[in-house]
Amino acid sequence: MSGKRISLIVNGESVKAEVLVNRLLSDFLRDDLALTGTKRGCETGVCGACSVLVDGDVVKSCLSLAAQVDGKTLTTVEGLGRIGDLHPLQESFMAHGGLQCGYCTPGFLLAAADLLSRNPDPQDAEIREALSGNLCRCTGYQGIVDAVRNVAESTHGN
Amino acid sequence: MMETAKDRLRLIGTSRQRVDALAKAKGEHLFPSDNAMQNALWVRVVRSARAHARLIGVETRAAEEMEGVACVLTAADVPGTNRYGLVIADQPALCEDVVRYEGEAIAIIAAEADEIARAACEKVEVLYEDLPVIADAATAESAISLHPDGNTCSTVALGFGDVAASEASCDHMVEVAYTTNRQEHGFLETEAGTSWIDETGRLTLSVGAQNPFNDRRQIAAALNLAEDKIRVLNPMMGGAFGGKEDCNVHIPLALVTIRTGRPARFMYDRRESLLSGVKRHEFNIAYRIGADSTGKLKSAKVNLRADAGAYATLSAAVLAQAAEHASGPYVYEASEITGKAVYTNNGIASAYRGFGIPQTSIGVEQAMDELARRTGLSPFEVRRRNLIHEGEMAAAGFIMAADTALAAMLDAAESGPLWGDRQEAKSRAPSWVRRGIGVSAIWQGYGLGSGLEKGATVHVSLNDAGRYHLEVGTPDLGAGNLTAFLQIAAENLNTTIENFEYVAGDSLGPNSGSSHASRTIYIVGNAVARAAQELRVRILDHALAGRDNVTVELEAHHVVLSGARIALADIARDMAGTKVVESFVPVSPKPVHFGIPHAGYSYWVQVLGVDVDIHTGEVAVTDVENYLDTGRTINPDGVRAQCEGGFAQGLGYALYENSIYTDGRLRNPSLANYIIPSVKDMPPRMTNTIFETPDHTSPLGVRGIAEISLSPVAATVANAVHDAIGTRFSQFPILPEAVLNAIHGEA
Repeated sequence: MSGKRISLIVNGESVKAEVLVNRLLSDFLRDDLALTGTKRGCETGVCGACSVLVDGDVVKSCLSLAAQVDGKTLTTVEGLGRIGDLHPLQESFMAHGGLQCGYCTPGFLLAAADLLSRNPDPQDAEIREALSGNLCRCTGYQGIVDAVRNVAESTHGN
Repeated sequence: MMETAKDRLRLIGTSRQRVDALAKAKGEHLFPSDNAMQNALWVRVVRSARAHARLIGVETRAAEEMEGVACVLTAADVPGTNRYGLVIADQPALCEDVVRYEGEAIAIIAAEADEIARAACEKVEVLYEDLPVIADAATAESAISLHPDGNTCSTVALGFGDVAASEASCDHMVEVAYTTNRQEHGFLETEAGTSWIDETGRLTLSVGAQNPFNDRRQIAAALNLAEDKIRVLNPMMGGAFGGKEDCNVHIPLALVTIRTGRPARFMYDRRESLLSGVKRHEFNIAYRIGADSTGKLKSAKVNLRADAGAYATLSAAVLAQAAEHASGPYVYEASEITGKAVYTNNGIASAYRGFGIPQTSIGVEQAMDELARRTGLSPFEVRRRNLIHEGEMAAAGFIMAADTALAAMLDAAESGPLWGDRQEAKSRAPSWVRRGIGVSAIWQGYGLGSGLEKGATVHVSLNDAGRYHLEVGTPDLGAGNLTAFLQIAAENLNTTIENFEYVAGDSLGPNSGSSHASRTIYIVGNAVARAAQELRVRILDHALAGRDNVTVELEAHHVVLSGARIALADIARDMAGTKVVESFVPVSPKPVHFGIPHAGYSYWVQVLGVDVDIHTGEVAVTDVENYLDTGRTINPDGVRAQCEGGFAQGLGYALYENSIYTDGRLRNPSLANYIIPSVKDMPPRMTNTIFETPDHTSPLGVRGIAEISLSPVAATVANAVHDAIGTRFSQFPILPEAVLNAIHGEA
């Protein structure tokens, strides 16, 4: 299998690497960069546990190749908050029962961040639509929806 | 001594953020699939492609010769009995002569990279000679034997009185017959873990599982190791729900590390998890319930047949619990409850949240619904007038030790908005929607049943830094029980959760039993309360040093002795030892059968509304009211989390989820075709009304609610769908195809 040199920005830092052309982005992040906040869940793009942001858009990293993100800017859950400061979504997930076992949490956080960056004041149905590509088996989702809504409302003061 | 009670910190009954919330929100928590050591070998397992076959040969040479392969292990490489199992050790760690289900382990490969291990698996050649596949539980007992004693895994026969005579005097006979689905746990993190030899030479495993002591015992026996040469850690994992009680990655990891001396890592692929992970039992159930003209129940005749799959594991216990609860929380004049679990080649069935009760609730609660219709009673009244009371004999043949908590819950539910507004809600339905309301009232024992519950031991201590330390053996599977334990401990020591360090899920620590059976808050929680209370007494006694006429008070970080503040750190340094070892074992009633009855029961009333789309056959749950009894709430947010999460799994069980086997082959081993509810499937409105009727067997008063949150859902949905379209279904889940057929009058 041939290799490819890639260079990208991950959580604000420049990364250069040589990867096999069939290296999954999820494996590259977890095993090569030790960013284990990105999870393996289903390996088929169904559960969303591996979601990351690529140039600001949410992407399932188990369906992407590392070679495809050459030149791109990535955000994983480790880069969601600013240094020493949680992202409002992280605080809200903690405060509103948005997580239990926590395994799906990084994927939900990134899907929610993607939603709020495009639509800062979503309706309930829009929140549910945006999160429908992620599975959670613990919470029943209500805490997650509440967490996202609270961030939107606190930002918009309504 | 005099202790003042001012400014006591109140933690029990208040919502506290989970202690693990921050690490999880930051993505920093290391799950069992995350914490592999540098230099760890990647483990993969060659699994059976057949459901039932003789193993003629396993050719491993090509795999062994691959560069980067560290070892290839087959049954001949297993040093011990090569057998494991939670109750009886009947499962081979690696198959010897026969494979009994698709996905059973045949060979283990460890390699320097995952890609190499996967490629090596492809190089292993397995030769099979097919045997007849037992695909149908109905005929399994007359088929070729999977085990030396035949294909009957376990049986149960309970009841009292003369059912035939009772039935002869009934005015109403209600029959309900149906087959339930095999449900997959669907934890987001598949079975995963790591292994290594620690600095003392001890084999150490860190795995996602539910009891480090059960794990250790099974590994030791299968591999002929002394238990004290093994340490098992169960760190916080990505969910379990009963599906990680059985050993999973344990023995492959242990074998590789023993053979190579190197650390190893293993995480099931999702397909592997769906194939070889355990499932909720498929049950075939027939109910015949008789009542008089006033709706008073008289007779219960129930037959249960569970498909155990290929090995025993917890099938006998699941069958017994299904039989124990089959009557619902009602009283009859005669009963006959029979059942069996049989071996087939349909995977393996074992524990799953609910443990037999989701299956039987579907039958008894539909029968109650039907009886309400025939008598003209409200669904609340028909249940209320049949509730079992203290001192009465349950259908399973034991005397109820206490009243149910259901009367007040049924009253509240009947006054709730869903029931009150039902006619108006139905009249508002659009033309393509049939709207229905369903009701159920159920019970579920918590803690292991009579004769099986060994209780829990925990440690609480005060260290030289003035901080407390809590050790429990039960892992936190994700539900948040550790946070509840810390609330209990901290309140009893009048300190804060932040002043605690903690360890959970370590076989070097105290044995608190498993995280299962809705037992942790009830059993372990009471042990934690006792230990904290004892430590409080010891600290105050030490500070008093036998003096009278002084006041003493325990504050968060100090003891105040007649106004003088002494730091806890100073007290700890001065005490000869602060470690308190305490246990709680509930007083078990006399067993009438394996695990029957339970020391305590939880109760739940559920009312929900559905919209049935007559064009697509889809059923949408729109509104849910839960009425539950916690005994005493430790953490309201945690209770809400159980209500909502349990409902979601119950909704999947009612409407979507089924592991479909044909000729012993799993047809849907992917989350693309095994459908778990998403956020869009959840009802937009759910309320949880909490009652607190203390359990007299529980010093804290608490009851277990983790499982009962799931158990009523399929029954309530079935009643609501019947209310909407007038059909009872014989096959679960209730799929759109069947709903459409029912609407169009096709059988």
